[in-house]
Amino acid sequence: MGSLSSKDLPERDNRSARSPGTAARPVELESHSPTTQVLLAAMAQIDLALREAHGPVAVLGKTLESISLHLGQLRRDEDTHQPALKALTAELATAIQSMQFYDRMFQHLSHVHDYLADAAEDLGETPGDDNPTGRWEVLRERLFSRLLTDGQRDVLDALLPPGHWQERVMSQDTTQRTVPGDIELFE
Amino acid sequence: MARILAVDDSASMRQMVGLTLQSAGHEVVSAADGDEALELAKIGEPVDLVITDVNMPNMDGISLVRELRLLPQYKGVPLLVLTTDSTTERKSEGRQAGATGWIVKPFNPERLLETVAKVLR
Repeated sequence: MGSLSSKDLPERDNRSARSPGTAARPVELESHSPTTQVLLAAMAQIDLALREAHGPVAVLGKTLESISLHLGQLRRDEDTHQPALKALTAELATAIQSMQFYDRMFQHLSHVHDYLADAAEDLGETPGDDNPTGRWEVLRERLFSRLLTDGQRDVLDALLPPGHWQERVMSQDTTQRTVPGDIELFE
Repeated sequence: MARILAVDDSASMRQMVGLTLQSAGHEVVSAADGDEALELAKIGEPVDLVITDVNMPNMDGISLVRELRLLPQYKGVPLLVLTTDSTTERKSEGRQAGATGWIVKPFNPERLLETVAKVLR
């Protein structure tokens, strides 16, 4: 299948999933095994979703900037607009926090995309072998280490626990729970 | 108000951090990865605070913190890490590299501003 590198889905300047390049050239599915075809089709959908979300999210970001600018103007006449200012400031903070979930989704899907790309690549290199020895475990571990939240890791663990394809050889620490918004100052 | 360097390879994250800090009157300069940030730190105007992501291409946030601490002008500057990664190992790495604090995304804008005010004191 070759390298599927694309460091430039539009949203991220130089970080992103490796792209199947579906936007630029159609993938010749027929030359691959049915399993690989399924993976490539799934990757293309994820790729498309990531690309399609970019425009609207960029517009949303600009809108928030504009709201922030208007808020700044209103603050100059703070006495008159006090209640509205307070409400708008709180709503802007909520919007900023919520907007970050798009960034998280982008990373999440990028990692899943890469997982599928690696699997498709391995299957392409070993045609007829739908379980390249040890590779599934390696790919699973790689995805696990890249996932961002405990929820994401829990879902992967539930479906593909460590050692799913072979004897359990490592344990993963799931006691350290991610707490979004947590802040720790060192000394 | 402070001059703050925000480092993240995600344009939308830079935007959200920028909006939050600017709403409190801070001046924000931004960089898309550790390399760019280090370059800015070496040749640009000094900043009062750096907020950096961890997982970035070219140079990650932990390496950036380590490199910045080697610069005389950044020895006393607060360096905050803003990341989705909250594992003890990574935090410990950040601390050893010289980070001032660790903030887990998605951040709460009000709490971020409180933390910024605290470390700038």
